[in-house]
Amino acid sequence: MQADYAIYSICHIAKADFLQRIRSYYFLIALGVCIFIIYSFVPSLTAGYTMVSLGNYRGFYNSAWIGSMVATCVPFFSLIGFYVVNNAIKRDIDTGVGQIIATTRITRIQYLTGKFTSNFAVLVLILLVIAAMTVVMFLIRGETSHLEPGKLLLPLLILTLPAMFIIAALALFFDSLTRFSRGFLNIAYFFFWVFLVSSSLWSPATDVFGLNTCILDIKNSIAATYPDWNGQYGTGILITDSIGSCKVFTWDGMHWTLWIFLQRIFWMAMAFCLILLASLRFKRFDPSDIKERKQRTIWFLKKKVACIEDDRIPSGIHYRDLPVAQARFSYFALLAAELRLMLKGKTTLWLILSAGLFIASVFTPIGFAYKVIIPLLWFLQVFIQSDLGSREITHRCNEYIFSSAFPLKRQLPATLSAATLVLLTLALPVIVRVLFSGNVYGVYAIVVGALFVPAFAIASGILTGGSKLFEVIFTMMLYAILNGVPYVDFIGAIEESHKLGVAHYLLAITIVLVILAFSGRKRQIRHAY
Amino acid sequence: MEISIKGLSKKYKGGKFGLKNFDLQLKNGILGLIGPNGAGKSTLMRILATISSPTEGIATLDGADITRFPDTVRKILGYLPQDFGIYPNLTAMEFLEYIAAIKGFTGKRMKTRIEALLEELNLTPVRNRPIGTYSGGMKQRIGIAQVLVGDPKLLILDEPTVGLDPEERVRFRNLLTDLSGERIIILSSHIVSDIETIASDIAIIYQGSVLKHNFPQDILKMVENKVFEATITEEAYNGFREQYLMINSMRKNDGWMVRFVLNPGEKRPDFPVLPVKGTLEDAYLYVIASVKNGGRHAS
Repeated sequence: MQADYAIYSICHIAKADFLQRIRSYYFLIALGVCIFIIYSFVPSLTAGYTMVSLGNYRGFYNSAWIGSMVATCVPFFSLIGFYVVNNAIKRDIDTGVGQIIATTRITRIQYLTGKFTSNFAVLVLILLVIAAMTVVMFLIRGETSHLEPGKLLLPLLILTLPAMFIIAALALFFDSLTRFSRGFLNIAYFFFWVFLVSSSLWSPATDVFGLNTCILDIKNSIAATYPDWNGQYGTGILITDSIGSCKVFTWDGMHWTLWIFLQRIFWMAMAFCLILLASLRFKRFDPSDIKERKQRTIWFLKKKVACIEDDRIPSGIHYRDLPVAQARFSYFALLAAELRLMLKGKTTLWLILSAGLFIASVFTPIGFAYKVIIPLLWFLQVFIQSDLGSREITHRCNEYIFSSAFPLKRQLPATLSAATLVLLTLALPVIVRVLFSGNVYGVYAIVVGALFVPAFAIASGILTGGSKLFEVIFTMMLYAILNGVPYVDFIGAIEESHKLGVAHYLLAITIVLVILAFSGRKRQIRHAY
Repeated sequence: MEISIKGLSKKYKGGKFGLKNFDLQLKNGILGLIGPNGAGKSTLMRILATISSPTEGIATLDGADITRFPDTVRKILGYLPQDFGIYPNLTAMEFLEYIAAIKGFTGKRMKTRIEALLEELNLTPVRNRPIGTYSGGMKQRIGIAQVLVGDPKLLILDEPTVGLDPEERVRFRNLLTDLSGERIIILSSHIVSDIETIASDIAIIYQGSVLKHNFPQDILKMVENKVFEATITEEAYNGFREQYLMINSMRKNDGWMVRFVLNPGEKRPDFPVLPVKGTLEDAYLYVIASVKNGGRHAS
């Protein structure tokens, strides 16, 4: 009877959660991004880039090669998948359903197993779409018409599926850390993901994603079959125009050994351990274990914030005695109010770090200040920027704010200007120093960046209804800038980005984002209900 | 000032109507909207507050179509949604200054007005504390304050008394009475007594349409000489519920004390009953029941 109840409740928790997720906008975005990744990661031979470089050889586009190329995209799928499923517990907190669940007979492990099952089911669904897309890619890019389903899809089944299993458990574990802020966990996972990818490439013993297994098999195979292979190997977006002139390596597919299966089972067992760990951490929606959203305040602004007693002093004032309100719109007053709304309630640690980096940007060498301090300083503003487009809805203020006079002409431009002003103010020392060094393009790039970031934050917030998309992509972009990737350099710090004229493209993207933000907000105002 | 609503319909995805061919004429005064959940009160209020668009029909403010020219309404609007939130890190002063700036009201005079408004709503002692720390009733009063910031000429208040204790409700009713005059106030509430005491006219809404729109005294006339109280036995209780539209009941030592409304054309019962004055709640329940029963109770 008890077992029946447990299975029944797990199934229903999983089902409800699964349906809720796959009907969300995020899920569709995730599917779209996965399809785009597969399409980009299996490039045509004339694309000018490759995802897997074998030195003087290139892989022949048969079932085995295309299947393995898609399987090596698993880190990207795992990143996207995590952010799709990492709010199972948080949503129950937000909706208040958690309080109801907490008072039922369901145990912590039953509840978490239900949520894990749902996480995994969502990721499996994404994987099924990936598998279908892999077949499509074979039909589009394949150099042979001989489709071998086993060789094409087994890498997804044996390497990617267990990776998704682990991601489902990891998402649940991060989700159970209710004491931490959501934005912090989103960003913490990104860095943990970087660690996971690195460790997967580093050694078979730490190969969570099965990357090392796949790469090692390819290397061994080519070395054994083609003695003139120069031993070079690379993965990632590798720009090359010589793919056509490379010799062709025909791969026969992975050699599935017992060791590979044991390895994958080991990581799945670790996933179970994570669920157990999460169940120890999880306190059944105890409010004292849940971090309230943005309630902490800088210490010197903090007044008595404990429970406030209702005041009962009768007021002698009547409405007719109030000073008359005279309409006098002031853009600067609204800008000041927006700045206050944006900056109020931030932690003391944030203030100290921001101030420290700002001061450091004055005194450190210009190159360091430009390439390292500005990205870090702007990264600290991620939570200020990330809810710009969604805060009205998140805080349920949208109905009365959107019914104020001229919401598109007044409030949205003020939000954009205030956020740009914050970024420009923080970058001011570097702007002045870059200008004096004669780097006019640098100043232009920083100004474009200061416009691009809030425009992106607002547009993504309005279109997705949340802050997660911006937080994740903004973090990835800053991480890429710190690692010298020029294509996403929105502050113009990397010399190659200057040559590529990245700022010009970003300005065009910013204009598109602003148009998207305004049209999205217009729709929100008139058609939300 | 005049609001005219003609043939207004709102059809949601899936074919369900929030409003269906809705007609209403409003002039300065307080309109009380009452109706069961899902009747269309909030849908109507959202359309008038310009955050939702009708699928058919027209609503005008002094002749201007509010769907085509929403800012004609927004400039004079104070809107309190049914389910609203606040920015928890801002203090009451900061929040109201923000709302005032958005609405286009600034300056020292506005600051003085906000301070007086907080005083009026008994929020002065907590005005410099983050709103996130306020109780439910205090947040509701902040919601009311944001409505009044710009001295609106059109007030749309969707369930404004939710979360207010009885004393606060009385104060709120007095405030609305103070406000009435050269304004249109549209007020919805499930607490019929809140509306009964202050509304200049009342609209009973059901399934997206207006059932009755009249002065309170005219609506009360519908149940004139039809409301009674009686004491009945335990055994007769269930049968009694079947036969009469029972408004409420109270258990007593010798059975049940019941308050009920007679069906149309039905004679006074042959057991001892005490005629009592009908209230708006009696009339509302009578009208709704008459529609649900296909006009069985209709007058």
